[in-house]
Amino acid sequence: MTIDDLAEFDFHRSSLTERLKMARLPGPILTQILAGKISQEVTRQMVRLTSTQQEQVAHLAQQGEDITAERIKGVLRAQINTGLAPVQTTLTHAWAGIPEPHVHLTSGNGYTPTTAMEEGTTCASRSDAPLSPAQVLSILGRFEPQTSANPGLTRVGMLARVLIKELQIALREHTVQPTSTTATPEREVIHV
Amino acid sequence: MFDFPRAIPDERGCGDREPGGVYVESGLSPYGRPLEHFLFDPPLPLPAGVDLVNKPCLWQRVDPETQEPVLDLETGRPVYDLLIHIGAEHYEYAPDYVEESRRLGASRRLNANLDLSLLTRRSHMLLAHPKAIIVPWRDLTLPE
Repeated sequence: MTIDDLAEFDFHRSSLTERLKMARLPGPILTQILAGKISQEVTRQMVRLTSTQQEQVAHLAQQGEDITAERIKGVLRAQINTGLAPVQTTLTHAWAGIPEPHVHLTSGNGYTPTTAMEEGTTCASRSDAPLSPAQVLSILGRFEPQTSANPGLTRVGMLARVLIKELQIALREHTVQPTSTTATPEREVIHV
Repeated sequence: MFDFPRAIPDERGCGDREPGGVYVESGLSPYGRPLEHFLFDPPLPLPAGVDLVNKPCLWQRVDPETQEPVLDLETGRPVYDLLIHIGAEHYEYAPDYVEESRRLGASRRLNANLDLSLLTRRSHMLLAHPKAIIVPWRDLTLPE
């Protein structure tokens, strides 16, 4: 009997598919489900894991580890983040040339002419090009969170935060001149 | 309050807006980049485990290399994006939605229980269509 046959008897197709996937989970996981140690909600999340991840969870179950909702949620999140990496990379490249949206409150359509600083960022792709303040801010923004995890970088972290604040103020006020001396690129616009 | 371009509230492939519904939208500007600039070309598959059908969700953006959360440089808070499914029952092919967006802007209904306070100006709407990737491409024939 197939799912199509069962669906003709008014069984819900998606519910049947999910239950079938549950029934096909690795043995050690099924044992814990049948023993009432794993809830239906957690089982639903496990169905969404790849077979490799399911095998890893099964291995943990075999070793007597508790298969908690938090653990499965973490595994699923990591799996999806890994899968989304190409999307994030593509987005990073696609938006790299687009300046940050410094939208004016009075602007009718989100259109904003670029500032000297933003124009500086468009020269960023060359490795020998000088860094613009926006790029330095971006780099510091990525670096600063790491300092809190390392006691040896406490002072560096504090200085980084001060520099970030100063750069944010400078960027907001648009008074810093571009560091690049290359030709001014064609004017960019914001498109939201 | 920022004043971004608004979508046009006209009837869409998925029908009219429902009173009381929560919608996320973006209009088009006469300036800026063409709509095609924002397409994933070639299209990318959704990761295994993502179920978006009728379930738009917020997803915290992470650095693709370090997997560390990406922080908003203004607020220091994590950046969240919206992952939204475009149903083939209303838009048979991905270009159907693209062309509608070109005419009316993008507009999608959200689950009212989503924590929309997580969205910022840096958030993206990431739209996924089930037929964006042509799987049986070998079956296709060249146009006459």
